[in-house]
Formats: sequence, C-alpha cells, structure tokens
Amino acid sequence: MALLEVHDLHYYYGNIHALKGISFHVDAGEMVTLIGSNGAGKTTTLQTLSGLTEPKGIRGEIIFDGKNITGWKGHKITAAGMAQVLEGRCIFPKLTVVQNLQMGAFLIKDKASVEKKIQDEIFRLFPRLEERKTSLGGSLSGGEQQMLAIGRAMLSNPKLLLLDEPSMGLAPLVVQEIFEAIKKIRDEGVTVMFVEQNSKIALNTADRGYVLQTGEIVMEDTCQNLLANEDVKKAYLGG
Amino acid sequence: MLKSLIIVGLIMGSIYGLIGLGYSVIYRASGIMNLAQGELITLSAFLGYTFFGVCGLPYGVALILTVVIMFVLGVMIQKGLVSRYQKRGVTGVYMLLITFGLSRVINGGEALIFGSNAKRFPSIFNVSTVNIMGAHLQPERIMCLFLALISMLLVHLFMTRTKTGIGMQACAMHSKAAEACGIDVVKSNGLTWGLASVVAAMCGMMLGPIYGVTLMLGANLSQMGFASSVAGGMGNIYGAMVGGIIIGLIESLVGGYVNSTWKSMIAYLILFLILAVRPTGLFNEQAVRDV
Repeated sequence: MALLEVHDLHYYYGNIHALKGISFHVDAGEMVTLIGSNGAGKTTTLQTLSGLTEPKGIRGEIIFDGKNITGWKGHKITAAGMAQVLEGRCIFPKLTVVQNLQMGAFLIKDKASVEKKIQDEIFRLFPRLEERKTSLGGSLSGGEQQMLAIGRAMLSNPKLLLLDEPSMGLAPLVVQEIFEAIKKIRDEGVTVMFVEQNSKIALNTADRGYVLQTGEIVMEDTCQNLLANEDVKKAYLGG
Repeated sequence: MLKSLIIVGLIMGSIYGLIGLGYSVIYRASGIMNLAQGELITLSAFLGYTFFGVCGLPYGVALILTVVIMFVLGVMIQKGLVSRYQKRGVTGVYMLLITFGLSRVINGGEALIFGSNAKRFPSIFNVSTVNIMGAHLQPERIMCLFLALISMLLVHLFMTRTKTGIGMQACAMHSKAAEACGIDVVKSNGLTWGLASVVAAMCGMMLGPIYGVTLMLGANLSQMGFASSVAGGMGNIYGAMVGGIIIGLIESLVGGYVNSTWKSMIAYLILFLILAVRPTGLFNEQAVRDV
C-alpha cells in the first residue's frame, strides 16, 4: 500500500509555475529517488510535501498515511510522521550537537526515550557525532553536519524520511558513508525518499526512481531499468 | 564612599542588565532589534502605578497583573504586527523602523490615557531608607537588585535549559529547519515577544517606584540597557547582565569621584574601548542578522 500518494501536484511561486502537475507514490518500506538537474523542481517538491512552502501556491492533492495533508503546516506534517533533511543541512549553528538532536525530538514528550534513541541509534549510526556531542553545530565539518541533520530528522520517529540532496558539497568518501547510513535507516523499516543531482549514486542506491524535468515527471521506472536507459544515460549519467 | 558607590553601581547595573535582557531575548530568538522595548517599560510602569497606586492592590498582585497583561500584549504585537510584516518580507532596517514607530504609537497612547503629568508611584515599604555598609538606600532599590538578578537567572534557565526555550533559539537560527523539527514557529515567536514584554514589565515595576512614572521613563533608561546588551554581546544573556553591571559601576564611580554630568559620556567612551578590543561584545556574540 502506498504510504505517500501525490496526485496532479502544481506549485506556483507567484506567476512562476514551478511544478506542472506531477503524480507519484512511495510504498511503505521502499526507497525512492527523484532525480533531475538544477531548477527542475526537486526541492520545491520535497518542501511542498513537508509543508514548508506557502500553502497558497499549491494545487493538487498529497495523501500521506491515509490523510490528505495538502496545505498543512510544517510542524503538523512532522507530527504526522514525515521528516525532512533539508537541502544544505540547515543545522542550528549555535546549538550543540546534542541540542540539535533534541530539537529533532521536539514533539516527543518522553525524554528518556529520546536520550536512549540518541545513544543507541543515532550515535551507533554516526559514531563521529558522539565524539563531537558537546561541539556547536556550526563548528562541524560538512559531512558531520549532514550526519547531524539526518540524525535530527530521525529523532521525530518518522514513517517517511525525505532527504534533499544528501550528497551536496561532500567529498566522495563521505557521500558513500552518508548513503550507507541511509540504507541502514531503510533496513530498519523507515520508508525513504530522496532527491539528488548525483544521479549515479541515487540510481545505485534506491529501488525506484522518477526523473523530473522543468516541473514535470518525464520518466518512472525501477532504478535498474533507469540505469540501463539510453536517454537517462545521456542526460544524467554523463553518457 | 567607595563601598556605597559600588553598591549603587551594582543596583543600577542590574537594572540596565535587565533592560538589556529584553533586547537580547528578542534579538536572540528572532534576529530583530526591538526599539519599542523602552516604551513597553514605560507602559508597564503606568499599569503598575494604576493597579498599585490608584486601585490600591498589593504590590505583588499589581506585579502579577502587569506581567500577565504585558505578556499578552507582547504576543499580540508579534502576531498582529511583526509577523505580518515578516510574511511580506520586511527585515533589517525596515523592521527597525516598524519597532520604532510602535514605540511612538505606544507613547502616544500612554499620553492619551494617563496624561502627560508625572505620577508618583507610592512607596512599597514603610521604611524610607536602609543602611547597607554605609550606603543609605531606598528599600525599593534593594528589591530591584534581587528582582533583577532573579529575573535574569530565570530567563537564562528558561532559554538554555528548557525545550521550549531552546526551540525559540532554534527558530531564530533557522526557521524552516525549526518548523521541519515539529516546532510551531509562529507560536514560538509569539512566546519570544511575550517573554521580552514580561521582562519589560519587571523593569517597569521596579523603575516606577524609584524614578516616578513619566512618559520619558523607558526612553531614558532603555538607552543604557541597550548599551549593556551590546557591550556584553547582543543576544547573549550573560552578556547583558555583565555589560549592565560594568556600565552601572562606571556611571556610579564617575558620578561619585569625577562629575555626575560626565558619567554617561565616560561610560560610552569605555564602551567604545570595549568594542575596539572585542568587536562583537565581551562574550563575542556574532550578530544574528544585519540590523
């Protein structure tokens, strides 16, 4: 059954028609990627799902976990079980690593379970964060910040984790490490959807993919098939 | 002489610090420099005077009523004015102008309701002076010192130890990320303004009995409070406290040993020196956004 269903979604920034009626779905337990070049509308798609764009620009329907969440406010959508790792990481620079993680669990009342999750899950997934747990977020390296952003999003106990360009600005070895972590998160039962400009790693990691081009979905298939597709190869995998 | 000047300096410093804290709370949690802070102090003094001096309620009750009213007013200012302009993309100096305009509107309202004559805030205690280490002090001033320190400590603990307080800071650092964490950013920003107005209420309730209640009360004193928060590092809660005490001590010592007409000038010259050595204040707080 689909955890997320998007029907004919449009997004307008004033007069600019950024998303032109896209439809897609993500099944529970799946890992789905949305690839596309700069300006294709990837970030707009994810932020609209999460309620982080202006609701008045939205047309269409977003059904998440059986509820129509179109136009909901961001914090309500997080409470409903959809978390997002934002583009550019967006950690809180003047809060410590642990405080950043605790903010991810803002809606969870049980303090002890939050501490336990930080210790048993997040620090196990990213041991580097434990070493730096009292450092300020702003003092971390790019890779560490990405780990922190993922850890923070995981603390809201999401059913669906959205990631916006997890590879952005990171060294290849770090990118590998981040994607290994994303796979582990999926293996633990969290449904994952991410957008990527690095199509190669995206299609080699996810199960299924959509190709977004100037606000429209132009292709949809398993990642295996997309990797073999001549058009995809030419446009997104460098020949 | 020195001892009593130091005590007076500490008292004034703690008041400056508390006034500065009002600026710092909003700046830290929303990146806005609120020029209406001084006027909120004046309004609180008028409210306190009305409840205590006119209605004859006990001081503690008048304090609580003023604090509650100011909290609600602070939330209303944020929701009804600031957030509406923020939504339209008003920031920086443009927002500064809005808060300045707000201060003039509040001031005009005060003049309309309470008139322009100075009001005498009745004494809270029966004794007129207390002798502490050779300094003859109004008991109201000693109460100020304690209330200011307790208020600062409570605000500090709230902002740095509670989830709500840390969430308020998170909203200022990255509002979209805060919303994605599940924080209701609109509500959180409202709370911030409510809290800063409560700090103003505390200031007004302490300053009224000492200086009398006039339309210029907050405007005069809030300059020094602003200077305190900048000297300490804008947005830093300890900073406002330490900055306030430094300025209070300088003023008191210069006033006692040199000349009281020079005290502000010398305090500001020392402030220049502090900023020359530490361009972002004593606690090295980077500016959140351009003001």
